[in-house]
Amino acid sequence: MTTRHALAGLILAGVAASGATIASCPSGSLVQQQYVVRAGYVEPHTPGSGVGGVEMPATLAVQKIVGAAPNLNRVSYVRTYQPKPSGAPPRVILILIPGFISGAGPFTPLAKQLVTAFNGNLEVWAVDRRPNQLEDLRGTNYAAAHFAVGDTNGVLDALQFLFPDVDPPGPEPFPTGPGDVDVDGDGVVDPPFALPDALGGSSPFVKLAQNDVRFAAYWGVDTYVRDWKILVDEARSIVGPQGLVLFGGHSMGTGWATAFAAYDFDPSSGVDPGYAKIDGLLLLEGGGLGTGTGPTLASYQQSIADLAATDGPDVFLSSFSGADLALLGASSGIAGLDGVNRPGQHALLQRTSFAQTFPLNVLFGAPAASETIVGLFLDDDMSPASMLAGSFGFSDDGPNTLIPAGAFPGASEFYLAGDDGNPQTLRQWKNYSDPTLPSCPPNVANVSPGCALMNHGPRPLPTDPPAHWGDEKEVSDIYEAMRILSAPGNFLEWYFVSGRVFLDFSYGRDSSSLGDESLLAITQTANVNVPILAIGGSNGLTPTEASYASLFGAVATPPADEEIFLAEGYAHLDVVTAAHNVAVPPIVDWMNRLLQRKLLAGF
Amino acid sequence: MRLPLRRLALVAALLSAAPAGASTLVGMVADPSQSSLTPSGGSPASLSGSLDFAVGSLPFGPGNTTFDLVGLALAASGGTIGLDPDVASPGLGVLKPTGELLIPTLFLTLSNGVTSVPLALPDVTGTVSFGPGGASITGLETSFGVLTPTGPVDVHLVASVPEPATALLTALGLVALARRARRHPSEVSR
Repeated sequence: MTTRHALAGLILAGVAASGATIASCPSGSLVQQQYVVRAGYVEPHTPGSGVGGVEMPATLAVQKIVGAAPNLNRVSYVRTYQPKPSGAPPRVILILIPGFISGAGPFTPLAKQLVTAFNGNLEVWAVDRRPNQLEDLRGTNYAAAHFAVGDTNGVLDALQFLFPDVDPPGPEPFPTGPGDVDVDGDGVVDPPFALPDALGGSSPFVKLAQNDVRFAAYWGVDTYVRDWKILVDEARSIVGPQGLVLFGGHSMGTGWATAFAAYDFDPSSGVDPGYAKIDGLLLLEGGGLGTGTGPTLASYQQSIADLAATDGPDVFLSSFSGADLALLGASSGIAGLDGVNRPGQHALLQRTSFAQTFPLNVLFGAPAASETIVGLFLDDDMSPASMLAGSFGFSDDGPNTLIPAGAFPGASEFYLAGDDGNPQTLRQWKNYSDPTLPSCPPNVANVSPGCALMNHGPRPLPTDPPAHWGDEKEVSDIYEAMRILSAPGNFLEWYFVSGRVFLDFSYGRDSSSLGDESLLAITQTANVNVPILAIGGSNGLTPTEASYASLFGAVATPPADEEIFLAEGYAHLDVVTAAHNVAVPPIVDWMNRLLQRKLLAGF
Repeated sequence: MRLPLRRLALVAALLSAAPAGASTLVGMVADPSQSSLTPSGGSPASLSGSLDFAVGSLPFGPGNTTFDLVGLALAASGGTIGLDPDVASPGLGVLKPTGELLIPTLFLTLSNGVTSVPLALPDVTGTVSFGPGGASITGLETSFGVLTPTGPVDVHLVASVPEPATALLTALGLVALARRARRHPSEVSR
């Protein structure tokens, strides 16, 4: 390089750091990700704990996924980072907890933008809660390998691994009979496709039953926060006492994060509070734990015993919006790969029995392109779980019907994409940046195609009840979401441990009434004094200042350290998935100020 | 030298927001004969321009103090280096009584007149020199490397506090720009 090009070199460095695309430095090329698995908290009942007389066995089904002698006391996270040229460690590590039924994956867009902004001085560790290790990812991985070499037949095998052909009894020849499903279209009822498993054999897809996971009766808040304490301690050892360890979460993950901060890790009479281990809380579209009234100690212990017993109550959440959650998670990986590799083509998932039964047969009723299938589940306008979704674009090339909330279990208001009667016509998806996304006005919400963009009125006062406001925005990239669906950490938590977790969360932000801190010790909320930054979306679940009033009124954080940024037009998921996230600058500024505060004590 | 508008606006914003006596503003000018960008294997390109710091307390109390870069206008090789306008506090730093400074992450914007790009520099360190009794700052020196796609670039900067004439010009600018600075409240609210 010549002297006159010195600043040009710096500018190139800036372009690379900003993630902008240049010929020699593809977007995001400097930011790296790895899936990290660490030894977690040793919960005694968990397979692999080694605690005689208490450890519960791993069933054959579990062993097919994780091996013959598994140790399930593990904690995992997706590490997003960028090595510094000096080799020095980062000064800030942000640990994020996903929300309800979420894997670590949705944090990826935000994590990449934050790491890029800090040019290596920040890492993001997005936690993949311990049930994620129970996911049978063989189908997704097999599909990925075959997509990589353009082998569509291999991809269909992966689909048949998850969803074999179906041939109900009847006189009609396969595949013309009612209910017949011929995934690969070969006219033959293929046996379930099998793949090598962790026991060295070959087996079809393993969908765990409730009795396979009874040990998760002991995977409550106590187990989780002790997993995360291991990560917090590790992060502290990396950044040092003058660095920042920040803890946060998205949606229900903010409840988890506040539980960590308020947790007393000393089960005896002393106090070892979580907030003393971190330098701040980042709450993304969630107001943390609220108030609650948990059961008595005897009732609590009985509930745990019931959850742990064979054929007891459900230990994990089996369905979401009427769909089998594990199958939803398994199919989403292949659906994402399909969307990335076969954009605009008929979604392969629609060939399966899963897509042809309720509720997906309703949601996916129209022939659709591969991206559309993903959009219909993730988008805030077109998903029946719209309250948990993001602004990924819209589909307006066919009839859309506005379905009111509650049309089926858990469904919120959404546009149902219909077909035009021509089976050859595929509903296509317009990504977030498409300039022709329909807005209202001139469109009308209850007249097809409806609206991707609409105004929700003026911003409520901070003391008004929370309500949506402002102009909706479409900000999240469907293609990035589809990549995340099959990436390590993926999008969904297939086996969300609802039984014990909901029992624990029934106490809200104070479990003192339980009276046994060896079981649950959310007792320090009133003493939490770390800075808090809350990020809400005006079209999400925490759209106004009032959304955070309850938490702010319950902690000891000084008012000057309670900050709120509201992203106008953002839906619930957008605060983590937006392609050019408006929350990044305030988060960067917040971290920057906290870091300076720490360094004033010494560097 | 001529003071850029942005530098004055930043100074005005700082002074209008901070209570009197809360911090000390220190304006410096880079010495082009000692300041340079040097690409690996190349010869140095001269670096010139100005820097403004807000210093938490002078003379020092018992510990470290804040040392915030609030204005930056450097030029080299036909391009310019400034603070990143998208970051509210792009140059937050800390200063030890010994004169050691650290800006843990310095958020810059680089421009060649056509393209402007952000660049965050981690771990910018340097040394500040003090006047008699530690009641004033007289200059600073910093060196750091930037890894670019075409190789490393070493940056060396030596700056000092200029003569009083510059301070007068700064004061004139402040009067004109203070009102403008107040028109841009932060989006972050309590």
